[in-house]
Amino acid sequence: MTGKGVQLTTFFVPKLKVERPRIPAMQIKIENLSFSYKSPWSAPKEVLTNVSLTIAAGEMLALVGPSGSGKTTLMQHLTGLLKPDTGRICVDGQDIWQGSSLNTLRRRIGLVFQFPETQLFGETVLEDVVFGPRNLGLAEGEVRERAELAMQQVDLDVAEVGERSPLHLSEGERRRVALAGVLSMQPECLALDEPTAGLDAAGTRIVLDVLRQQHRQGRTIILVSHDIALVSALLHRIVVLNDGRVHFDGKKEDLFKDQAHLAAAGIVPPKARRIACALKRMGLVATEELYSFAEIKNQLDRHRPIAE
Amino acid sequence: MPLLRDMTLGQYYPGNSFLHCLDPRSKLISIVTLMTCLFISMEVDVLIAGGSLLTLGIARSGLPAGAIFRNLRPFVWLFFITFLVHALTTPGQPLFDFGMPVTREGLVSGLGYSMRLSFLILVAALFTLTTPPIELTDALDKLFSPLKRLKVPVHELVLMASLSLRFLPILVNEAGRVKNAQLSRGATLDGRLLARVKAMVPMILPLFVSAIYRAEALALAMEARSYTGGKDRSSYRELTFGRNDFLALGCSFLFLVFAIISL
Repeated sequence: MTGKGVQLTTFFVPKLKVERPRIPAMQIKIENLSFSYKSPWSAPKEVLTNVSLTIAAGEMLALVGPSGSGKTTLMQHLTGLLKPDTGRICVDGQDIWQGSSLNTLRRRIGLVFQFPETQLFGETVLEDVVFGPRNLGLAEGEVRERAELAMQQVDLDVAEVGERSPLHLSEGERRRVALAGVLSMQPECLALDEPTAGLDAAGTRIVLDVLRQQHRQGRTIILVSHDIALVSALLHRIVVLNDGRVHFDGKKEDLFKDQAHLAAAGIVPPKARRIACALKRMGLVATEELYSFAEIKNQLDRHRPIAE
Repeated sequence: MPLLRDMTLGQYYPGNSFLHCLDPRSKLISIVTLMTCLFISMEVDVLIAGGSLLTLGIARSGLPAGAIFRNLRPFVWLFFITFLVHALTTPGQPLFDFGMPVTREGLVSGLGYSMRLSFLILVAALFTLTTPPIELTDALDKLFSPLKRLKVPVHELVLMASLSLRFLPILVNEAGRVKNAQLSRGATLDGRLLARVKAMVPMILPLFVSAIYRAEALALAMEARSYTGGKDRSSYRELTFGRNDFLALGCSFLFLVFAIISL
């Protein structure tokens, strides 16, 4: 498969074995959450201030904001890795800090941290991927099946890399192994922190394809990123976090319309959209709501068919 | 990892205090003297004098008290066990009896030893909090430079020591990240001892791997800038002894004399 890998990815989504779409609905509701890190050095600094957010079951949304805006901190609150100072997080109406165990919750919400490849520990790739499903207490057959499916989803060949040490893979491949490690748990919701940071174009596409695929199967996807171009090409709902506060929550079209808002949140509209704006002013396209060069090209072709 | 979270040992807290401005050599000699005194003498007055010097140091350091005293927390058990062993095993006038007699002398020496231990930890913390690693390296390098004549690779050893200190906080951070990641994959930290030990593997292995990668990257970066240690290496900041340094050394010398006399 080496060598053909890049080309294969273009076709690889339809080729996948269809997973049983049996994902229960999961609503996540964050209410007035505030949090500060306590440090022995200084007075506690509030990282999240009064954050409220509702994420519907099966929704795919992006959480964007500059570095230090609290994205990762918020993500860690989702499964109770951090405890809010005030406010609460409810999953299906139930406060996660009351009653049901956090461990169960962590099986339902899969977190993929930044540079997840640093968390690999298995002697072999397969050994690492099965760690999650094994912790779920599944039968060995099911564990194996899930691990193989997950590896297939991230375009890794079980026969080829399954028995190799993760340390001998490339960085992009290691990232995908880590992703497979979470996918294999088949959580209802996936939250990913900068999953494409540092990946090349092919690696990025594989990761994004996986996300789309998971979304289609009914999973809730929360994509944490500072890359506004990436998320606006992919998603509709964008939540902008700046300085620990929710600055914007809504459709991307509305976000980019309001220049003052954008500036306040420290966001530069993606290149594609800026070009689309210019093209619209020139009367070459009908709308400025274009978020990738492919969309621009489509519009241009439709508007002005190029005579051969 | 509560132990690691509480340790500020090895971290530097920037400041401009009297202690921050001392020459690292005089600081190092002073704390070693102070520690030695606390160990050689069992007298109460030495303990009190040492405690006062320490209090003075903490008060003049400009550090938040929490940053210093936090370092004691991981050792609470050590203090408790030390105290208990002394209280129960020292012969003397029995006060009360829990199967084993608790003696007056035992209580006093238990308290004394626990305080001595906590003073040592506080002194060490005070030193590392007010001394950037680079100054510590310079100080050790200069102080041990006579050993270079005996072909001891002083500079290299000192560099290694200071690098490990430097990487400690990074490692602590990383441990937290890996722990969160494995928790998110359904790992559990409770259960019996054996289960808990087994659960540590996924936490520790990635740490080793990244530490090795980091070390490799660091070595490359140093080589890329043509780093060579050794006697021809000059430094940007030369260490200079000032009035305060003689004052600090004088104080510690007096304290040493006092401790020896009281023996």
